[in-house]
Amino acid sequence: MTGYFLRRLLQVIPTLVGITLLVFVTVRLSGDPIASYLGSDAADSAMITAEQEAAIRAHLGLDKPLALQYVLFLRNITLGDFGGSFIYQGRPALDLLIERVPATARLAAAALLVAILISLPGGVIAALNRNKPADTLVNAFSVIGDAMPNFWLGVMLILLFSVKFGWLPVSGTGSWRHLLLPAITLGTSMAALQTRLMRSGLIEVLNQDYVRTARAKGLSTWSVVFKHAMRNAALGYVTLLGLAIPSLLGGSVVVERIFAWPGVGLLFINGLGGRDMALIQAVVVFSAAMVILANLVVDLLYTLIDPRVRYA
Amino acid sequence: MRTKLITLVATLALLASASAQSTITVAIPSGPPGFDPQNNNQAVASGVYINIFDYLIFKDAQGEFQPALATSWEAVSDTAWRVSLREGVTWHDGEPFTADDVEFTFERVANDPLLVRNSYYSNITDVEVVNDHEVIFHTAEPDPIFLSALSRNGASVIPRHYYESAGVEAASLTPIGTGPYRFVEYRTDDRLVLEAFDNYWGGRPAFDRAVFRIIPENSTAVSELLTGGVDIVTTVNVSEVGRIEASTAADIAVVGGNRTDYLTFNVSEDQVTADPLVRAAVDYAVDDALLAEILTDGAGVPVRARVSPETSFSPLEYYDTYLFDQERARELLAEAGYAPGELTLKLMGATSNADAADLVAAMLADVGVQADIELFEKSVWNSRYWQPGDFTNIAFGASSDSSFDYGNSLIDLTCPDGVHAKRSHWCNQAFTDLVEAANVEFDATIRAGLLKQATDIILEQRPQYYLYSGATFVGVRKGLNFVPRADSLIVLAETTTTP
Repeated sequence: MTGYFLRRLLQVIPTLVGITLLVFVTVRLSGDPIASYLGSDAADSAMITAEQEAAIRAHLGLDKPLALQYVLFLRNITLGDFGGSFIYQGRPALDLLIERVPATARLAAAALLVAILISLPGGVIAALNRNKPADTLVNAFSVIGDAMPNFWLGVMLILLFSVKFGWLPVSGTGSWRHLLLPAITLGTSMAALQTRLMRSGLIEVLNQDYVRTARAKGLSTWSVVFKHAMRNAALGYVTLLGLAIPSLLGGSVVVERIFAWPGVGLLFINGLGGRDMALIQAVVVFSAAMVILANLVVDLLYTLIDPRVRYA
Repeated sequence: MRTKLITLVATLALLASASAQSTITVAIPSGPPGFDPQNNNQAVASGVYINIFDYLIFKDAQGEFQPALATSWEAVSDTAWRVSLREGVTWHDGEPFTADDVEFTFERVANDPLLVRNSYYSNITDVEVVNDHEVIFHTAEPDPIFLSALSRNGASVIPRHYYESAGVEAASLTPIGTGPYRFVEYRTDDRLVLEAFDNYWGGRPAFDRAVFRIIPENSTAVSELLTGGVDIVTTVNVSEVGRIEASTAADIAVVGGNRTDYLTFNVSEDQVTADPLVRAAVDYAVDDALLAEILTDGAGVPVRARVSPETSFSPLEYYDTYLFDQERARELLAEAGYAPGELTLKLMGATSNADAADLVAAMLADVGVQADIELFEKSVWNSRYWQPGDFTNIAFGASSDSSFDYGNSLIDLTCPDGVHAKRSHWCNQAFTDLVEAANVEFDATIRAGLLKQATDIILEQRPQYYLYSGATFVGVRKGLNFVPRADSLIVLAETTTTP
């Protein structure tokens, strides 16, 4: 078990280094940050002298050879220094990121909870009522939930629950009520996928011989489903939950903007819009690390759910 | 028992007074980058700073200079301005404001090339402190718009003692100013909280607290306005105007400005747009009034130059007028040697220009010109457009100028350093000479004449073709007395509730 864990942990290092190289190159390939340094939605036409431009380039380290810039970047990030964010007047990018992580974590956790609360019972009901009206209803929800773009769903939820009925705040942070709409928006499409997965996983397991045997022995449906079938059906479900972390991070970019939720997603959009190298690099490396970590956790959970993985 | 009772009453009274605190909440699309006013180029941030910091001279909503931290000023020579400072002003931390702070402020912005406002103040060579309440500014060149420079983005006066003791980083995180509101808390991309400064030299503002909420999505900001979550939405998109107009909670105010939307032509020799006849044909083919009507919901005004009533020295004969004659456009194209259908032009811009590009392309099609549209994500387009002339034929652009001085905006087209001149590869020495002469000329009539002559060169050669002067829609809760400004400043000290 420890050997397996260490092996998986070592595999993380080359992946992370690869990601740093990728983000480093793409940020620099996609254009010159100088225009943004001076403010992309400037009040004034960007006015700059050659000396000022040279000073800014030197300040951002853009005057050094590319390979050297990368080596310095790698060295600095191992020291926890992602550089200063120029769209936030030189504040350390890592500080800005750390400040935002709790908001995004809260949103992602709430969205995950929404997804589980909908998909677990939904999937079970659909599987137990295969091809009956309840199944059709759950499937319909699943298709609709998957098809709705979350920016549209978010705006509709605001119009309905905040503007029309006045039940919930429109946007921002402050209480659990602020969290509801963004969490539902972000969790819905994930719930749709998870529901389908739970349904198909459970249907497959329910057709297995051991389930028939369990039933023949007179066990209650409850006992058959929750004690025996679920554990095996959960394998795919848990995998997808783990893999949903990237889509939660991706989705939060849109949802945080709609609900003015001050998380990593909003920070990332600002970084991209301002072509802020330090900020983009910090967010991408952090998100990648989160995804890798989530995959690692899923793999470890596998070993608990399915001991065969450990010995493979 | 009696002591407990008194304590209880006192607490209740305190709670009651706390709940009676008046708060004004403003939705802004993006937050200030920090609070170093010299390191910011965003209109929305300057709009916020005016509540924390003061300028030496304040331009009122009518564009007139009013005393602020300066009480009087005069030009003592072509290159020197004597400025008297207000006495009895204190910083938010209680320290007195003196000439020393003014010297620190302007010498810092004039000398540090990493500050984004540096190039706007590099003409200042020295700030001479005469005494605690008088300074003389010395400039390298005569500067007739110097007073505008003192009352615009980047000219907020900052405290020397705080910058030197706490450092720039701390000062830009938790600012200290002399303005009507003092800083309480800033959560980036969430909210900025300010509270009224009791010792403000201009008198305590009407609202006890001012909250700026950062709401990037415009429809969300408007929903907040309609449900009472915010009192003001500083910029309302055209598509959202109807929702506010239909509501009983808020009103729409329209404010002019000096943002001009235009097309920049690449006039390099290898471009078809090098031919002035082609550029003229585009001008005649496009219906500016229709563009303004559709793209700004009728609030924009067609123009032939970067002029507006709010911008001083604007030759206003080019405001609310445009050329549109598609027959003439066809003739010009024939003269340039293009039969109908023979000419293809490339239209480039940001994705936000999509509607404008479609309309212009359709109008060009009317005169037998095919337009290929190529749009880029905003930040990609910014960095691309920034590279001199890195576009083919025609680029969409929009510019404003926080000095609100027409002569200042024309610098963009001067050769060789003007940013628009670089982009279009247009270099006209006569034009450059006229603008340079105008910008050191103190006689208003002569200056206006020089700027008019320079404008006529642009109109004849068309390195840029101006479409319309934009307007901003502002959403304001009913019962609130807020004056939106052309320069986007959010002046809460002058905001009150209607009795």
